[in-house]
Amino acid sequence: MPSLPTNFGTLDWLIVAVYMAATVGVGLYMNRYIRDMGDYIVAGRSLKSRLAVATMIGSELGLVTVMYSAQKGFTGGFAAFHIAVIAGVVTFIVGMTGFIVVPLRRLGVMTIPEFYEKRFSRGVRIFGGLLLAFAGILNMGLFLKAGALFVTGLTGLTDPNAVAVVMTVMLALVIAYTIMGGMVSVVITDYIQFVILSFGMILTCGMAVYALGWPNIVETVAAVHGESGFNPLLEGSGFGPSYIMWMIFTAGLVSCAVWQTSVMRACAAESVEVVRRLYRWSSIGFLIRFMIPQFLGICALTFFFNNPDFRGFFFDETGSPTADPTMTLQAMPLFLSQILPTGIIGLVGAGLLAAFMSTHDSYLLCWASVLTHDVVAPATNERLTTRWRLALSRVFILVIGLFLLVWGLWYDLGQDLWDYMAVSGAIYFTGAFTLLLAGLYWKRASTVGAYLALIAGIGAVAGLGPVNQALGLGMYKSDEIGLAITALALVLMFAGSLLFPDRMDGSDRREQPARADSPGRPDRKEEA
Amino acid sequence: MEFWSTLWAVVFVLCLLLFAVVAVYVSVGALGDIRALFRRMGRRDEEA
Repeated sequence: MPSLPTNFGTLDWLIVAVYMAATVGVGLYMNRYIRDMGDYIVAGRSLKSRLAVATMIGSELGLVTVMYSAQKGFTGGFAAFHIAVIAGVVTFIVGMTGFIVVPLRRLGVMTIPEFYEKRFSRGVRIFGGLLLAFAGILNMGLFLKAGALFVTGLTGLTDPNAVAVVMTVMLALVIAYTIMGGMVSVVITDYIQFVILSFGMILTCGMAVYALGWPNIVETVAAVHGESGFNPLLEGSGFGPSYIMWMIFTAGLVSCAVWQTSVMRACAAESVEVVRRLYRWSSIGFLIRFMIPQFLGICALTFFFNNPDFRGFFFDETGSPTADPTMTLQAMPLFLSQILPTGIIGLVGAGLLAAFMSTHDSYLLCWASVLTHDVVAPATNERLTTRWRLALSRVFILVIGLFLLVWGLWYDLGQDLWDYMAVSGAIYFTGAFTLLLAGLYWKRASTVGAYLALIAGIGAVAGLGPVNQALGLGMYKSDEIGLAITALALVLMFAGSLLFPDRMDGSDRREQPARADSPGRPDRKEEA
Repeated sequence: MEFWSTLWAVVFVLCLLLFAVVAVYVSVGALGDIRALFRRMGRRDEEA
C-alpha cells in the first residue's frame, strides 16, 4: 500500500470532529419525537417532496457508493458512465409510471415482506423477511472495510490499529443515534449530509478537472483502456451487453424500486403523488451518485498513470491497471489527498465520513426493522407490544453492528466491490422483484410460486467470487449468473402459481390478496 | 471512440449542471419541509 504525503492536516481533523459531533448530536436529539414503530421506521409517514428527495439522495449517496463507483471508473474508464445513465433513466421512468412503488405506497405497508403477507401468506413474509435481512446484512458487510480504506487513503493514517479504532468509534456513534432516533434522526442527518456532499462533490470535480486538464484525462483513459474505456458495448471493456442488461435490472430497477432502503422512502412519503415526485426528482441523484465518483476514479487513474513515482503501485509493466481490488479501491481517496487543499479536504472528508455514517444508519435501521417487524413479530402472532418492538429493533442494530466489525476484517473481496454488492443483494432482490411484479400485477400469482421464486433467488450466491470458484463456475460471470437466476425465479413463480393456485376460501392464507388498486392504508391526502 | 468520448463529455457536463440546480432547489426547499415536520410532530405530542 503506497504511503503518500497528504494535504489532510490538523485543521481538517478538527473540521471532521466538529462535523461528526454536530451530526451525532442532532441524531440523538431526535429521540424526543419517537412514539411508536411508525415514527421509528417511516417517520410517521410525514415526509414532503423536497425533504424526501434530500433524504433519498443523502442516504443513497454514501461513502461506500462513492468508493465502489470510483473503483469502477478506475477499472472501466468512461465506459462505466453507462451504469450512472441507466440508474438515472430507470429511476425517472419509475417516477413517471409509479411502477411497483405507487401500488406499494397505496397498500400502506412499511416493508416489502409486509406486502408478502398481504398478498401471499404469513409464512412467505417470515421467509422473505429472513432472506431480505440476510442478503442486506451480507451486502453491507464490506462497508466498514471500504470506509477504512477511505480513511487510510485520505488522511495518511497507515497504522492499521489506528484505522480500526477510527472505524469502530464511527460505527459506535452511528449505532448510538440510530438506536435512539430511528427514521426521524436518519432523515435529518441525511439532509445535512446531502447539502455538504452535493456541493462538496461538484467543487471537487471542478478542482480535479482544473488540476489534470480534460484533454489529459481523455488521452490517459485512451492510453490505458483503449476504446473499451469509452464503449461499454465492447466485451473487452469488462462490461458488454449482458453486463448492461444486469445493470438495467440492478443499478436501475432494483436500486430504486425493489431495494428495501429506497422503498422505505416511498413508504414514508406523505402521499402517492409525493412518491412519484420523489422518484422523478431523485433520478438525477441516482445518476450523479454513480457518475461523480466514477469520474473521480477516472481522475485518479489519470493522476497515478502520469506520476512515475506511484505508477508502479497501480499499474503493471504493460500499463494495465492492477488486478488487486484493494489498491483500485484506494486510488480515489489517495488522489483526493493530493489535489484538495487543507480545509477543503477536511470538509469533503467530513461530508464523506458523514455519508458513511448516514448509509450505516439507514441500513442498520432498515434490516433491524425487517427482522423485528417481519420475522419476530409475525412469528409471535403479532403479540409484541410497541415497547418490545422498539427494544428488539435496537438489540438487532447492535448485533448487526458487531457482525459488520467481524465480517469487514475477515472476508477476502476478490472482485470489484460493486459486483460484490450486486451479487450479495441479488440473493434477496431476484426473488423479491418476482414477488412484487407478480404479486402487484398478476392476479393468479400464488403462495407456492412465491416460495419457489424466493428459494431460486438464493442461487445468486453463486456469483460471489469465493463461492463461484468453489463451485467451479468460473466460466460464468456474476452478471450472467444473476440474469439466469432472475429468469429462473420468474419461471418458477409462473409455473408454481399455475400448478398450485391459492384456494380462495382463505384456508391457505390469512387474508385475501391485496391488489394494487385495493384500498390499503390511505395516504394523507385521501384521509383528508 | 470519438463518438463515445464526445457523448460522455456532453452527458457529464449536462448532468453536473442539472444536479447543481436540483441541489440548490432541494437544499432550500427541504428546510421548510423540516420545519413543517417538527411542527406536525410537536402538535401531535401536545394533543397526546
